[in-house]
Amino acid sequence: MRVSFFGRLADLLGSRTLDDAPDDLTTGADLRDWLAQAHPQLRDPLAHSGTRLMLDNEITDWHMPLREAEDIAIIPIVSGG
Amino acid sequence: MTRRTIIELSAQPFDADAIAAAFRQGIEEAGAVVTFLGQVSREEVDNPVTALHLDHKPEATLASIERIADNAEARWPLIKSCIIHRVGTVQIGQPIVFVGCAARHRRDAFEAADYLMDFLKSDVLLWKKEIRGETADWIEPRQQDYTDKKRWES
Repeated sequence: MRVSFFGRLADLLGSRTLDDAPDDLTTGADLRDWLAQAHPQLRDPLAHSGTRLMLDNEITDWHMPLREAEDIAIIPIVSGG
Repeated sequence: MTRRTIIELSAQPFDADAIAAAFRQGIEEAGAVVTFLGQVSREEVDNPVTALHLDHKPEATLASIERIADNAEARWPLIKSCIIHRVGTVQIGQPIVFVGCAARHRRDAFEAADYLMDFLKSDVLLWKKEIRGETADWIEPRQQDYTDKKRWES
């Protein structure tokens, strides 16, 4: 599955998107756990309460299923303008 | 209800004077037009900010601004309003945000512009990086930004 990242998360990853997350990850929490293992530089920010899952441009809970989403993103706390 | 706020995310520098002039067109019924321009300021400190970078997620960022605009329209009788926000890299002295509010009476226009800026500073889906020469830091809202926003809760 494709996952996009914003702000400091994209900087830490060195990329806006990742395409190597397995398609059989069920929920946002599963994705978060996989990312923390596969990309250790994301482990601390993923554990931060301000880091959120966005599915189809809506901020949602980590326990939500990923299968229906066309757009999966992980965002850090927003800074505002 | 149709939204009366013009909203734009701009990846390029914008001409605030031209936008303000265009905003004033066709609103003869307005007795008050308030326009606000925020720009990237030069700091008088060691290792000052040389530019800001605003990361965004286009559809979601726009939606977050639309929610703020809709709340302002519901709260004040605005004839017209406008929010232009930069994204990408913004240099010192360049405009970062333009807000315009037109209303029949000045208090409504002043308050709506103030409200819009308080929420734009804290709630918009943007991620801001301060660039200081060769280094850069992602920043989060200041406590003052949250305090400013709380003024509108009563």
